[in-house]
Amino acid sequence: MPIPSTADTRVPVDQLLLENVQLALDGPAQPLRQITAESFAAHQTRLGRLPDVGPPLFDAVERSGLSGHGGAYTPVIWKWRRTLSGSGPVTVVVNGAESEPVAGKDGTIWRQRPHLVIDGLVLAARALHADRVVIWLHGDDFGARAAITTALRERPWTDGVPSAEIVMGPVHYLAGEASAITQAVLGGPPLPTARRPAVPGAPRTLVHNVETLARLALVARGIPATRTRLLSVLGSQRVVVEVDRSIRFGDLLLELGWRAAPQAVLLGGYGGLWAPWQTVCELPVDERQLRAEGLTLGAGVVVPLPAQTCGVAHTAQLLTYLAAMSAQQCGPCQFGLPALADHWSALAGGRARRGGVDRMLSDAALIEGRGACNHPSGATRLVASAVATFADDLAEHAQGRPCRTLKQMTLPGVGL
Amino acid sequence: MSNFEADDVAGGGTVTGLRLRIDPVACDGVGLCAVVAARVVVLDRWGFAIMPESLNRKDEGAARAAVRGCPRRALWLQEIPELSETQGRETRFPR
Repeated sequence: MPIPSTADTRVPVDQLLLENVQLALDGPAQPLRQITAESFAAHQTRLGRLPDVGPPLFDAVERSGLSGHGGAYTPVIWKWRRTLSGSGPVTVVVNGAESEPVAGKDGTIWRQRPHLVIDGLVLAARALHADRVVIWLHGDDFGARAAITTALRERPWTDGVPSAEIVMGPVHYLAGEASAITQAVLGGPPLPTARRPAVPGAPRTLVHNVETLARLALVARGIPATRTRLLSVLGSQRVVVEVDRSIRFGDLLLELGWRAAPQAVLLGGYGGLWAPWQTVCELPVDERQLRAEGLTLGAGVVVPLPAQTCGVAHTAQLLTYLAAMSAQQCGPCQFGLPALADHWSALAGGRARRGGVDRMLSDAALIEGRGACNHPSGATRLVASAVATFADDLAEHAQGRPCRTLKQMTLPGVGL
Repeated sequence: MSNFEADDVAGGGTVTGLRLRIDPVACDGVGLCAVVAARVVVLDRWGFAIMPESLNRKDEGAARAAVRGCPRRALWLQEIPELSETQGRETRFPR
């Protein structure tokens, strides 16, 4: 696919990125080659001024079917209506803490087209009569903070909308979890919370993903915003690319320079799910079609597993990471995830005991759905998909045999 | 591991429109609920309370006792508009 230069005004109006990028392997979405963000002047020349907020905006949002881009895909109009049905003070938050180590699409949007996101943020704040507007980032994302600060200074702020506060959250896998952000923004610790019965008049906090607000800025202007998908792909490099959502995984990897077919792909992130290559290579990256196959791309992370590596060993590493990232608040997560990690590490290391796989599955069934947030369910989903995808290797390991190959891929953020 | 005994329904016990809910952050694994409502709540192997899928009318009193007795106030009863919401909840690991 063509990679346009930063000054290219031929970038299609419904495209979010100025260009596809290669990022540093670890940490925030810092591009290896500096890219100049689109200025406010250029943004306005390309898209015109910010539309008004009223019933036509709500109609446009509903008709477009615009959904969230942080992994849950909740329709924006549902979230808006639910927020408007309450009565306490309203805080609108844009969640820029994309905590999956491979994910970089949101940080890339901030660094290339911050005014798209800020437009969406202002529109949402006005639609919901926000009393407070917050931009939430990972504590180490200084690149995004700089890009946002510059962008905010470039533009006049809309009357009636509170000034946007940039808040640097923790540097942690759960920093982007919506209930943790909600609690933090209201003055509490940045930790997930369970949803308890609603109290009338309680503060209302609406959290939107960065990409969702960028697409909202297009939808509000009558520009369809569903042609493309932003993906973060890990190979020998970490890249963020914008592709047509009809592109198939096979063609995607070919275009990204993959010479040999992988054996499987991890979709969605470390708390995502595995799928065999034969299943995904002919599938498009379009979320609706993936869901029809029981798959999901979550926040758009794609990690192919090369052919001569062991899926069981990599699953063990991922589970060890997920266990370490537990907020340590809920018993099934705090104790169950390390138990799962131990099971899979024993399997990968050739130390399986009789009945070990059954005990592992029994533990997974105990953990699923029993955390305040979806973190433990992500781990159990990973386990279920690994059992299905790596059935042969798992059977070998269950007999007590070690990996056939010691070759491993480097997973950012996961110590070996 | 299920708390739902099939012959309760067959024997005429009716399922209530209530569901026992837990705040897993508040739950410390004290286990009082499993004592006062032994037919409703069991503890997992790490000592934390597992909620039943639904509540029979004859278990409602015990469930209320568990709610009142929890030293962490981790439990509450929720009205469910449609019983079908709780039945057949999908799991990847059939129990």
